[in-house]
Amino acid sequence: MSALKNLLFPSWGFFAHYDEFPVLMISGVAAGEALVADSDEWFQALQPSPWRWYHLFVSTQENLRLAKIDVLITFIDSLNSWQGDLSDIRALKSYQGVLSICSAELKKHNFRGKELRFKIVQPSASGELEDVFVSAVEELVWRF
Amino acid sequence: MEIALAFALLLQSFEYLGMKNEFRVGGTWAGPDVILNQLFNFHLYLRLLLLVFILTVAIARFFQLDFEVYSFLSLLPMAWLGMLASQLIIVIRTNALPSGGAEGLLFWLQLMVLWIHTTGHQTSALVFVSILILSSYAIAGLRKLAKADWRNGQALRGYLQKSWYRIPPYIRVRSDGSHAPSPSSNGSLLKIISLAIILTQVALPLFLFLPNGFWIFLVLALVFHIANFWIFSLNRFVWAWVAGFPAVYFLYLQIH
Repeated sequence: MSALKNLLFPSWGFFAHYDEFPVLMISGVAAGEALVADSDEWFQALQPSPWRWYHLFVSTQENLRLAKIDVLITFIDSLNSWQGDLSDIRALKSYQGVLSICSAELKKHNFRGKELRFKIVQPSASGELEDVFVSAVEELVWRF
Repeated sequence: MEIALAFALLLQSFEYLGMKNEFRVGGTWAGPDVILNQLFNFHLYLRLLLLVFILTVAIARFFQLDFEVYSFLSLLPMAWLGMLASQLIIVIRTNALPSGGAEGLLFWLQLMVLWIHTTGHQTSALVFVSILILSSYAIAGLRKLAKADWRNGQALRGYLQKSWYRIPPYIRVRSDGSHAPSPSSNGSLLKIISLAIILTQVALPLFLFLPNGFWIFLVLALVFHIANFWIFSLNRFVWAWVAGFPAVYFLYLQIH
């Protein structure tokens, strides 16, 4: 429970360590399902909503987005320290968390398919975006 | 401090209520048990009620309103215990903190208010909170000072150009430089701003030793937090730190 640890023992390291920021990409097309009328195979998830002055008081969508990014960071940390077979990583709670985020994002896009893939990309030393992790084709985590 | 803290938590609670669909079926943090999901969302309303109760009693006591406030005072520790439990439940359920440091500070502030209500040791709690707040600035400043990319402005450029924070478009520049020149594309300016941030963070606790230094501290800290909201959209930091400023004022009075 990394979040619980950070809650109880805040590190006060705000912005001190800069690293390249990974980006979460989702695809429903890769699994053979059309993403409504969207022709792009991959789309960037967790995009911010427009800035408003009254978000100083209540900023639900932005804090929700940051909370989801925190789930993504937890998964990336687990990924970086993963020793075993990469196919076993699906058992991680943080992997399932990212999967839930992707499912919720697709739901927002009125996605009608049943499967998805996600990947995490990061700029390389040359500035090109490269895949850090590409998931297997997964079933959407919708529980209707 | 209690009123400011309850207000900060009230705003946070409104945000959690706005996220309640994420705890329902189909949401990011929906559990397999529908009843547990509903109980969790019910607890978000309960949390709001607790805060309204705390705020009412705390305001009535602070302004000495003609209100049977003392008959409710004994319930305050239970209410704060409920708030602490609620925060732990939310963090365990989501395993995510939207603003890590702000959530951490809010947790410790709640713990200290509970400590005051249960033990009556106000001085120790307020000094602890003020040290927590002052150290947050100093440690953040010193850690940046130790990093070469912060001293030369490169880290700030990275945050303004490529981070996932919501940066206003007139500040953010695409990494390919295709936007018109803006503050984040000017290397010298970024270096000056970086050094100013480091200097401000390191110096903030020292202002308390100056006569009238608390007011300089207050203005600088407020400007710093509002700027953080304006540039990075980090609103919870503003209210969490403001909630602790009465404790810093208490320490300032003890010093002088």
